[in-house]
Parts: sequence; C-alpha cells; structure tokens
Amino acid sequence: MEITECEDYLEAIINNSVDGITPDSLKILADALNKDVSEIEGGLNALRDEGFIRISDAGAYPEIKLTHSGRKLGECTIKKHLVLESFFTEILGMDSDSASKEACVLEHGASPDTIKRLKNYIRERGARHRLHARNAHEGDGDDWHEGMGRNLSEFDEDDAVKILFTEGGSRRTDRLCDMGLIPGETITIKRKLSNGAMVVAIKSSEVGISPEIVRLVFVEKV
Amino acid sequence: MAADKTDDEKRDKSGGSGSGSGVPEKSDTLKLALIGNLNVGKSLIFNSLTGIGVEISNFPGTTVGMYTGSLVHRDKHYEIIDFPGVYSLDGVNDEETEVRKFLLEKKADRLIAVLDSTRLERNLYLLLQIAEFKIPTVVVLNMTDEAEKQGLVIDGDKLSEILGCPVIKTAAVEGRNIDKIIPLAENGAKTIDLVTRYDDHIEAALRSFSKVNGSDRLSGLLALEGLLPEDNELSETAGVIAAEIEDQHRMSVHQILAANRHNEAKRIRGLIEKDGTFKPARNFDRLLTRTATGVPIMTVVLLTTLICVFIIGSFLEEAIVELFETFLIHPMYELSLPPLAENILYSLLIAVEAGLGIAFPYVFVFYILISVLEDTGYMTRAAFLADRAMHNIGMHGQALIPMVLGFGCNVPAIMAIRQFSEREKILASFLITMVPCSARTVIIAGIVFTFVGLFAALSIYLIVFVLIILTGIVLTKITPGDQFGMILEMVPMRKPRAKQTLTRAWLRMKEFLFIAMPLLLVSSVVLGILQFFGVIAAFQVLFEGFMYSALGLPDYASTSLLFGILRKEMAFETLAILSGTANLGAVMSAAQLYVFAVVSVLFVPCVSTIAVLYRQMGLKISLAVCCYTLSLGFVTGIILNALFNIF
Ligand SMILES: Nc1nc2c(ncn2[C@@H]2O[C@H](COP(=O)(O)OP(=O)(O)OP(=O)(O)O)[C@@H](O)[C@H]2O)c(=O)[nH]1
Ligand SMILES: [Mg+2]
Repeated sequence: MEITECEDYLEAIINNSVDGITPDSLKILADALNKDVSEIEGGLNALRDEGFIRISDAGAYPEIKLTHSGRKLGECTIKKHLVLESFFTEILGMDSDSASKEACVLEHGASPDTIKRLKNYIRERGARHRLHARNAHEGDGDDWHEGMGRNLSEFDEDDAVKILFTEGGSRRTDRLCDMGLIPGETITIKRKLSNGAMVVAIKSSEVGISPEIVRLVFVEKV
Repeated sequence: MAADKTDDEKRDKSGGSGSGSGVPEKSDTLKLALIGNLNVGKSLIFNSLTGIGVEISNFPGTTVGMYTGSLVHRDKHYEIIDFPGVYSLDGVNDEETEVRKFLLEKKADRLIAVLDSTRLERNLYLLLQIAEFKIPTVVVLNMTDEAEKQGLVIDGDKLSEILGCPVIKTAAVEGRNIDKIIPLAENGAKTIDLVTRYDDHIEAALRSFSKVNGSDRLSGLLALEGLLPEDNELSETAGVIAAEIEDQHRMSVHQILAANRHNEAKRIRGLIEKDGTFKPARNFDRLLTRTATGVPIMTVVLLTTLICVFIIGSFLEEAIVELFETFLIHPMYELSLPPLAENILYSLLIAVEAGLGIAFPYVFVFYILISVLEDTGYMTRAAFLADRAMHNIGMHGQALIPMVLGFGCNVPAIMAIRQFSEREKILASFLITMVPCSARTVIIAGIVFTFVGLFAALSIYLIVFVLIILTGIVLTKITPGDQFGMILEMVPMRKPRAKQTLTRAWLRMKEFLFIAMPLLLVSSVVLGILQFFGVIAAFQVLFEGFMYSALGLPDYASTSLLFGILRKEMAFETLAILSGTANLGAVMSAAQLYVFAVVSVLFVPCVSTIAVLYRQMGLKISLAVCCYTLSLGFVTGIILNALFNIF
C-alpha cells in the first residue's frame, strides 16, 4: 500500500477513535476515506502488514491497536492537516469544506519544516489579528483598551508601556518571558539608543535589550 | 570547615557537564545545592560556607558549570554544589538544561534557594518552578542590606507560612545569618507545598496525563513544554495536546506557564513586601548607558587600565629585577660552578626572575584592575553600549563580558561562551582567542613598553583590535546560523569591596603562581640542558632562514615562540633566557622587539586555551582557530618587517 494511503487510513482511524473491526467502524472508515466498505478490510490488513497497526481477535470482533510507528505517522499527518487547513481558512479565507479537502491532498507532500514554518506564520499573524479584533470592540470591559498595539521600538525614553504580546514564536523570547515581560505587564523605557537598543525597567530590575529583540515586542501606552 | 579539592580540580570539572560526582561519597553525606537567579550571591554564600574560593563577580553569569565543595559541621559531612545562575528551569540553554537534569535525577538532597530581596518578584518566579521539583528546600532571602537601604520591608515569616518551608534573611557580604543555613537545611528543610495553578487548559491536560499515563504534575508540565529527557508515550501525547493548546491561545506553552507563574509571584510579593521609598536612578549610572557620554567613558576606562598596568607593572618589575640581579645572579657567577651546573642554575634563576619579576607585577596589577571593574557593575553597562558595535562583528553586547574577561585570561573567557548560540560560539572562539590576555600584556609591556615606548605598546593593542574587528566582519559573512539578540540584566552599581576584589585577584594569581611558575621552571631547566648539548641550536638552524629573512628576528626567536605556546608570557621569558639577558634592548633592535611582540601576541593561543576550546567546540573549530591565528601572526609579522625595512 502507498504511504499516502496508509497516512489517510491512520488519520481516519485516530480521528474516529476506531478500535475494532465492526460493521459500524468499517462504514465510518469507508465514509471518511471515500471508499467502498468492501475495500476497507483489505486496507486494514495491508496496514497491519506494514506494521502500523496490530489486529487481534479477542472477543466478538477483531480489535485494532495502533503500533508506535502507526500512532506517530497518524498524529503527524493530522497535525499537518490541521495546520494546512487553518492556513487555508484563516489566512487565505477559503471555506472550511474545500480547505479540508485541499489539506487532505497536500498533507502527504508537505515536509515537517514547511509545516513548522506555516504554523509559526499563522501564529504570529493570528496574534496580530486577534489583537485587532479585540481593539475593534471598544471598551468591551477587558484589559485591552482602544488604540492599536504598537511596536516597542516606536516609544521613547521614560515612556511607560503595557506589553500586549511578543512575536517571534518558539524560543526566541523565552528569556524575556522569564524576566517578566509577559502580556499585561507594564514596563518603563529607561534608555533608548539611536540604533533602537533599550534599557527597560521590568519588575524591579533593568534589562538591556538589543534592537532586533525590541522589535518583537508589541505594546500600548499606559 | 574543609575544602576537599584544589581550585584547579574544580576549574577542570566545571567546564564539562560536571555534576559533582567524583567526590568520595559517604552515605551520611547530605548534598545541598545552591540554586537561584543570576547574580544573587550564590557563589559568595558557597565560598563562605566551604571556604573554597570560586569566582564571585558583579555581573550575571559568573559561575559557569557546577562547583562542588564539602564541609563538616558538628561532625556531619555536607557536600555543597554551586549551580550556575538560571532565570528559569524550563529553558533550553546549557545552564538551564544542566540544572534541570540535575534536579530531575534527584542528585541533590536539599536545595538552598537564594533570592535577591531587591528583585523579589522575578526571584519568586524561579522559586515557584523550584517548588515543582518537590525537593526539601530552605529559602534564603539574600541582599537584605541593599533591600534595607532601599527601604523595602519584607516579611520573611509570612513568606515561610505561604511556602511551607523555612526562610532566612541574609546579607552574604556582611556574613549576616550565613551560619544558620546549614543547620536549617539539615533539620528544617521542607518541600514547598505551594502549588501554582495554571490556565484551565493546562490543568485539564495535567489531569488527563495523571489519569492516563499516571504521571505526576512535574513530568506533565515538562512534557507539555517538550522538555522530558526521554521520549515516551507521555511526551508524545503531550506534544499533540500542547500543539492544540498553543493554537487556541496563540502563545507557546512556555509563555502561558510564565504568565501564570509571574502572576502568582506578584500575588505573593504583594502579601509579603511593603514597597519602600522610591529610589531614583543615580545620575552616574545614567551617564554610562548614553552613547555621547558612555563611549568616551569606556575608552578612558580601557586606556587607563592599560596604562596603569604598564606603569605600575614596570615600576614593580624594575625593583624586583634589580633585587634579583644584585642578590642572586651576580653572587651565582662568583661561585664559579662547573659549566653544565652553572648553565642549569642560571636558566633556573632567570626563569624565576622572569616569572616573579616580570610577569607577576603586570599580571597582578591587571587582575586587580579588572576585578575592580567587574565589582562596580560597570561591565553590564559597557556591554549594553557595545551592543551595536558588537553587531558588526557578528555578536551582541553580552559577548563583551567574555571579551573583557579574555583580557585577564582566555580560558575562563572561552568557558563563558557556553550561553551563546552556536553561531556566536564559533565567532567568539576566534575573536576571544585573539584578545590580548594578561600573559600577552606581559609581552607587550615587558618588551615593547620597556624597551621601545608607550605609544609603540599601545599601537600593538590597536593592531590587535583592528585585526579582531576585521576577522569578525569577515566571519559574520561566512558563518552560518542565526544571530540572537541581547537580553541582559543591568546589575546594580556597587562599591567594590577591597577584600573581595583582592581575593579574586589573588585567586586568579594563584593559578599563575602554581601552574605557570613550575611549568616555567621545568621548561627552563630543560631548555638549559638542551642548549648545553646543542639541540636548540640544531632546531633553530631549521628556522633560521625564515626567522631572519621573513621576520628579521634572531634564530633563537623561533624557540621562544615555540615555548610561547605553553604559556604566552614564556615567549618573552625564554627570549630572555636564550639571549642571556633580561635587558633585551641590548641584544635586539626596536623593530625586532616590536615584530617579535606582535607575532607572539597574535600567533596560536596557549595550550590551556586550546584545551578548553577543544572541549567546548570540538576538534574542527579549535584546529581552525590555531591555523588561523598562526598564519595571522606570521603574515602580520612579515608585513611589519617589510615595512620597517622600507622606512
Ligand atoms: N550588597 C550585597 N551584595 C551581595 C550580597 N551577596 C552577594 N553580593 C554581591 O553580588 C554579586 C554577585 O555575587 P555572586 O556570588 O557572584 O552571585 P552568583 O549568584 O553566584 O552569580 P552567578 O554565578 O552569575 O549566577 C557580587 O558582587 C557580590 O559581592 C549581599 O548580601 N549584599
Ligand atoms: Mg556564581
């Protein structure tokens, strides 16, 4: 069986929590995979031969269990599917049905790296989106006041600002987080150099931050 | 109290992923680990408890790797471990990973969590993480002297009540309450029972892990952050759930947890601290980080340091050499010993003279001045200001600290680059090994300042700096990888304390006396014997042509350079031994001395530097550094020689 077909099978098994070969589950899988019920059992056997699932007949119906590699491959495919789908809907504005179908095709070809990058992209875009959406609801009672979030680099010495979010995904700003630069926290700019480097007062300490990190921080004036 | 290890053994261990093993283990030995944020005074407490001298400095990240010491208190043995400072336990840099691993493997019986009372909230943030490891803990609120000066009032009893573990208020510089730490760690330490509540989704995930995988809270949290040391079912499930949570929150799990912990820390601080009178930033401090004032100050500081070293050093040198000549060298000649004995004895005396009389004054003055600079807290300001300039050579401001340390000795400087990204480590390996360390200052001061002049000496620094910058610019173009920006805490400005400053200068000096001196003595005896039997002459004949035609140097310069690899200042010392006089001006011309100094300063780092470089960066990089510096030294020497011949 082709690896892409295996991926589809595993995805369907996990998504539908299939744990045995019953008439019901065969029907579910057939629907999910867009295949005929008669094909499914053969497919499952092929999957077993590839080492992705184990089939054991314990009770009335044979039981299906995912092997380690099967679970891994399946979850990976699902993740790819989700990332692609949300890219299609959130960024490209496609409707969810066709987004899902498109994702089904592309998920097999996309490399983990592409998926990771896409995901970071969506996350950053999304953070800004969400912020703007929040700002659109003026005075809806929570902490987010009107006025757009602005980049920290736009502010000057002695300005006090409130952190909205930090960009840059992954581990880049972890150190900032640990030092207390988290959403909702107020910081004061103590020093700003012409290149944009800053010393800011966070909690009771002062921290020097270089310009490229400053640009990852989005704030609003207090 | 007893220290059961010498400094050198400790230094040796600290570089690796040292874990404190190797100390004879007694079953009743209690292992106490000092843990806390950077620059909170852990090492100072370690020193006061064990009597061992580890480095204490007023900048973040002084301690690299782990140091172990032991002490006996009321007939019980304790082993104390000084961790490097960390801002969190769920980070991925070397220090954080190392400390986390140590705690996970339950290698510490008790934790002594050191907190800076003046930066309570951020310190509590780490404490909340420490609490999750469920190891009996004593909380030490250090720096109470500074807190008092700022008018902060902290309720230690209340904190103890909230945490459910003992809390001591200390001021390590004054020794206040330090003696209470060990007894409390022995008898009173308790696991902290305060539990940080996280975001609903995180809590739900943790509950489901404990139901399905039977895992505890800590492993659940680590698994969510992808930090479990081994891959298992838990880490797999957690990976999927974490992705889901991150999608929903549009924040990394780390950020979510950090926000929850900070809020909890803020709450606790509100309960125990009464904010004191507001203390405005000192004006002086503000001058240091402004370009217009800070850069001139930085230049002045650097130049003053160098000139002080030259002038005070040469003054001491003259006095000591004078004493040697009159009281040892001349009387020895009057003994009229047999030639071989005389040759050996003479090399020995010259070696002692070169070591104590020439190297010692410069190195010691240098170490004292650097020590003062470190203690004031100036270094982090300079680093901030240098950030932009450092960008041009592919690094960020933080790298200034190892570079400045490199002026003292390249070895600890190279050890301090662990915290950088891979790319920066490669760049720093090249650049730091080019920084003129105190041993090279000895060469520059002893040869060029003494026999040629002050400006000639300073011009060598200029040449080296220019080469460092050029190297950096070229390397940034060709080294792959990401550049990581600077996030550096500005430490408080402090008045250096004479005792601490001198102790550290002495600590570093000891290394010189106990490692460099014996090495110098042994090799000079070997040199004396080899010279007597004509081996040296044969070796020199090989390089004579090159030395003379390319560099314009006498043949024995090749031997000196070779010995310079053992310890940099030995290039100078062996030059004195081989030329038969410490008054080099009499046997070599100014141009020769200058070229010799430049070549020996630039070419190949000393063996100790190569060794740490190898341990830190592997064979490829250390080889590349050696080859590069070797050719750089010779090429510069050849060019200079050619120039001197033209003019
Ligand atoms: N005023 C005051 N200064 C202190 C106290 N304890 C330590 N210091 C100073 O704080 C600085 C840092 O001390 P270290 O012992 O090097 O701190 P550390 O926690 O080991 O730092 P890292 O190794 O960088 O993590 C030094 O300059 C000490 O002199 C204290 O109780 N009061
Ligand atoms: Mg330390």
